Amino acid sequence: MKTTRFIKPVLIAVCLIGMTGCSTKGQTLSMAETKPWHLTKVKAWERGTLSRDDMQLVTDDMDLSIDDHIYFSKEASTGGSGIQGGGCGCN
Amino acid sequence: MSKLTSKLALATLSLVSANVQAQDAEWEVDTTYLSYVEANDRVAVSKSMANLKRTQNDNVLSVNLVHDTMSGASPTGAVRSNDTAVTFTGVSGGSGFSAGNNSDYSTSLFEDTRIQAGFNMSRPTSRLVTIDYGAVVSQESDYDSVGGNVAYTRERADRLVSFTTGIAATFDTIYQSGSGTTPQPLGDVTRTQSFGKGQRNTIDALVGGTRVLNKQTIAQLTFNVGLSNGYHSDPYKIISATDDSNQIVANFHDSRPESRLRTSLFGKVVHQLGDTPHSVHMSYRIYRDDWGINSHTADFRYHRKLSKRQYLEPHVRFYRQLQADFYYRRFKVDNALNPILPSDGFASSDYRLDAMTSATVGMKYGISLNKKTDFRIRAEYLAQSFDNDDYGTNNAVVLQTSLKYKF
Repeated sequence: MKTTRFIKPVLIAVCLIGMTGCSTKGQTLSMAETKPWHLTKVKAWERGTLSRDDMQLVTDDMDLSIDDHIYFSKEASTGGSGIQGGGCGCN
Repeated sequence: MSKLTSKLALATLSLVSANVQAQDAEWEVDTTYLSYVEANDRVAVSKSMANLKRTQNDNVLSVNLVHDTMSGASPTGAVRSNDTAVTFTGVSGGSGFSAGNNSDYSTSLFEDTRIQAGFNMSRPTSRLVTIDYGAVVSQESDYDSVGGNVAYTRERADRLVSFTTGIAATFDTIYQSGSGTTPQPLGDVTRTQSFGKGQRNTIDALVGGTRVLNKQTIAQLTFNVGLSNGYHSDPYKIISATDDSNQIVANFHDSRPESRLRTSLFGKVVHQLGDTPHSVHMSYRIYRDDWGINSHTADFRYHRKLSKRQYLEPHVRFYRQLQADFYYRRFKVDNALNPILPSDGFASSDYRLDAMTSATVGMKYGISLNKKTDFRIRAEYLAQSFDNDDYGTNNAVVLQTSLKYKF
C-alpha cells in the first residue's frame, strides 16, 4: 500500500512533464505533431531524428555503468536494461 | 542492349567491390572520474574508468578498466549505543576493515581498493543479426568476481523492431579481508566460529526488444530473471539483541538464505519534443525477488540542446522498496535476557534490506570541444530514507567528469 501511495504521484508527474511538453523561449513545445504512443510506419529515410545521439536508448555508457554500480551498492534491487556487470563487496 | 547490360553489371560490380573493402578502424577512448561522498563521513569513493572502443566493419570491441578507492565508516547493523553490556572486539580482524570507536559499534571503519577489467565484442553475423559477448573480472581485498555474458539480437527486415535474448554467468568469492574467512551465520560475535571463503554463483537471463513507434519515439521493454546460489550473507554485518532499555545484550553475525531468485521488468521510452532538438528519456522498472523485496523505480531525463555543440540534462529518479522478509532492526530478549533468534535461522539488519525511499536529482552539462572531443560534467544528489534503520537517512553527493576522444 505504501508503495502504491508513493508511485502514483511519481507516475503522474512523469507523465505530465513528458506529455505536456516543456516551455522554451516563451513558447510551449506541444508535441502535437506525433504523440509518443502513436504507431506509424517509419521509412528508412524518415529516421533522421531517431539516429541523433540524444535519441539513443543509451546515450552515455559511462553514466549507465556508474549509476548501475551506485544503486547496486545502495539498494536491494538489481537488473534493468542489461545483464553485464561486475560484482563488489560494496559497503 | 547487351552493351548496356554489361555496363550495368560492371557498375554494380564496382559498387559491390567498393562496399566489401575493409573500412579503416575507428578508435574512441572515453575516460571518467567520479567522486562519491556520503554525509557524516560514511562512505567516500573515488572511481576512475577508461573505455577503449574499436569499430571496424560494424564490429565493435570495447575494453573497460575501472579503479575504485573506498573509505569511511560503514553502518554494521548494530544498534547505536554508547553503553553496551557486552564486550565486542570488532566486526572483522582484517586490516582493510576494522572496528570503529570503543563505545559505538554501529559503524566500522574501512579502507579498500577495487580494480575491474572487462571486454565486450559486438559482431554482426548477417544484415539483421548481431552477437554480443564479453567478460569481466574484479578484485578487492575481500571480494573476487569473474563473469561472462552472451546476447543475440535480431532485427526485423524493416528494422523498426528488434528482439534480444542474453545470458550471463557470474562467480563471486566473498570473505573478510585479512583473515580470508567468513563468520558462522547467526553466530555470536564474541564466540565467532570462522569458515572458509564464501562462494556464490549467479545466472542472469534477459529477453527484450525495442520498437520504433514513430518518427520521434523509440521504446524498449526488457524482462530479467536471475538466480543465485551460495553465500549471500555479508561477513561484516551484525545484528544486536537488546533488552527493554535498549541495552545491547549480544551481537550476532548476518545470516541470509543460500539462494535468491530475482525478476525485473524494465520499460523505457525516448521521445523527441515536438519539432525541436530536445528529447526526454523516461523509464520504469518493477522488481521482485523471493527475499520479499519489491521495488519500483522511475527515471526521467530531459535532454535540452543549448546550442549545436552544448546540451544540458536535468535528471530525476525515484525509488521505493519494501523490506526483506528476514530484515530485523534488532532481536528481542526473553525474561532471562536470552536473545530470541528467528526459527528459520535467517536475519539481517543491513540498511539496504530495510524498506526505503530513495530520490536522486542531478544535472549534466556536455560540450563538443571539437569534432573529435566531447567533455561532460554532472552533479547528482542522492537522498535515502529508511523506515527502520537507526541512522534514518543517507545522503550523498556525486560529481563526475568525462572526456571522450575519437581518433
